[in-house]
Amino acid sequence: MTNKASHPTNSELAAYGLGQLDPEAAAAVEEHINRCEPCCETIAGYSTQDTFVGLLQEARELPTQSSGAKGQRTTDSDVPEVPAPLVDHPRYEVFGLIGRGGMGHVFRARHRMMNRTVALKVIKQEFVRKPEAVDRFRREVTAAVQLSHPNIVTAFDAEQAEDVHYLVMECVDGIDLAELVKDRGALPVAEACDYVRQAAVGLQHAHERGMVHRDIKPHNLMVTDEDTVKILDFGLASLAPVALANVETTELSGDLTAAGAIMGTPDFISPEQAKDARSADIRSDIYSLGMTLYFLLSGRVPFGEGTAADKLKLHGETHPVKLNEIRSDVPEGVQKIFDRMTAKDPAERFQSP
Amino acid sequence: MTDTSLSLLQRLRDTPESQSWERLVELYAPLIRSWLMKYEVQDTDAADLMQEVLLAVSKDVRRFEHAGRPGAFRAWLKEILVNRLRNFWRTRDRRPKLADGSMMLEHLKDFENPNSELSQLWNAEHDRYVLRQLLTQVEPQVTPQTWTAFCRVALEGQTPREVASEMGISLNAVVIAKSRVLNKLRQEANGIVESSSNFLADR
Repeated sequence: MTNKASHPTNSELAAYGLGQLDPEAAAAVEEHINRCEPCCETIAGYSTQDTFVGLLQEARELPTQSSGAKGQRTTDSDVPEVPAPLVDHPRYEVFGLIGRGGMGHVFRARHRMMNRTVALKVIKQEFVRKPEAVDRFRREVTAAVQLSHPNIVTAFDAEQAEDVHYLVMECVDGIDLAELVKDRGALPVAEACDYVRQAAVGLQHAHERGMVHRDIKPHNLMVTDEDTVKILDFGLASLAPVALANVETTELSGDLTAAGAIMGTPDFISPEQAKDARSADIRSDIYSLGMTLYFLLSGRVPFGEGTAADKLKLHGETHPVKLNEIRSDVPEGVQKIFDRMTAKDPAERFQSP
Repeated sequence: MTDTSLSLLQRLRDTPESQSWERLVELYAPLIRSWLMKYEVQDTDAADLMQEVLLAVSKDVRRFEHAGRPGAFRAWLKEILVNRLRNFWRTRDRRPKLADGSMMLEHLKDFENPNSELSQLWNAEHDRYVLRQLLTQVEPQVTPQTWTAFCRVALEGQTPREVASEMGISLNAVVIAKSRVLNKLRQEANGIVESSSNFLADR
């Protein structure tokens, strides 16, 4: 083939272009096309594809082992992206965003093997930087996984993909109570009471298994299309700083900011929990559920004015405007139940949901 | 990586266990990890099982008979993986969160069947993961210019002429770069990724 007169056959040229020739034959073609432009043109004109090349193209789409940088998709909109380690996750096919929260965003996903739709709550990085926070989170979720009740969103597992921690849970079609009130305003008394009753039944189930929620609020209560209330995010409050804030000190700085980021505004938090998150027990959840009832019936948070620190102080010291001063159709019985749920002293509240 | 005419499989067989071990981990850890996750094996259990699977491969790769069967290597690897997974789910009282152990064993039966969808998924993922690693390994073995030309033509589908004029090099150089890198990848993958081996000339 060194003679210019004897060109390689077309199939040889094609095979060379695809790297299919053995080294000796390849070297001969190389030598030839160094001198013969038409043959080089011929190779360049052939299709570049075969099965192997197709596989290489697919392979290149996979992230490399060490970095997730390849194939990263970023946009400048504020719609949260599916985190890189969850793109092409072997176990979950992750679809779009279905919810946003202080702790993290929620994505709809399909468990590939079980072919079941789940929701993945991707915990924001700032909450899982410390190993002890991750440990606590995993412990709590392990406990939450034991909960199985129609009024609780079932958690399946806490998992990790590279540095991304996420909670796998039942995918609920519905709307949270904060959203519902935003849409409709204050709810009819019977409806509000029923929602709170259902949430209490869910809390009772958790209580019997030794679990405390620690972050009961309208945003964490979902109503399904069948009007079933489901409590969200059991175990997640474990990521909050242990000492939420000290209400007595006037200097409320870093801790509270962090807490605010996690909990949102402390509109529903019990006085004892505000002082020390570790002291929270089921009665703290009852307090928060009481304040949630207030929100559903009044369409507003109990203490609307002031900073987070002011609100914490108010929860400790005063009572919100009476419900029947806001609307006339709230029966005395409901006001009484609310008062008892939200007593400052846990001992004066209902002792179980 | 002294003898470039050898395939990865050949080198795995020829090198002492200690060296082939690292190569195996590099090549196969991502794939195995992803399949252990599919079968709900996590954390330390996953690390243990991964170790077991790769140890078995490293020990027996010398005895592995290819016999020219297409897909023999990935089928062999799958068999090892299935066996370890079955042991795991039989002996450990570790119930998965999304299914019970017996369901896992059922799924494993499905996985064992070479014609099942799962097996096809395995085949496809096997090839993808291995080639991903091979791309990473081959890149530093060629000049950056050769690599870029190869990527643009073979992986990104640009025509050789476009690439030549954009990179300011001859058409000849582009054609040769693509052919050489593809050839190297085929050689490396030979025996492990089957579609690599449809050489025109006899090897």
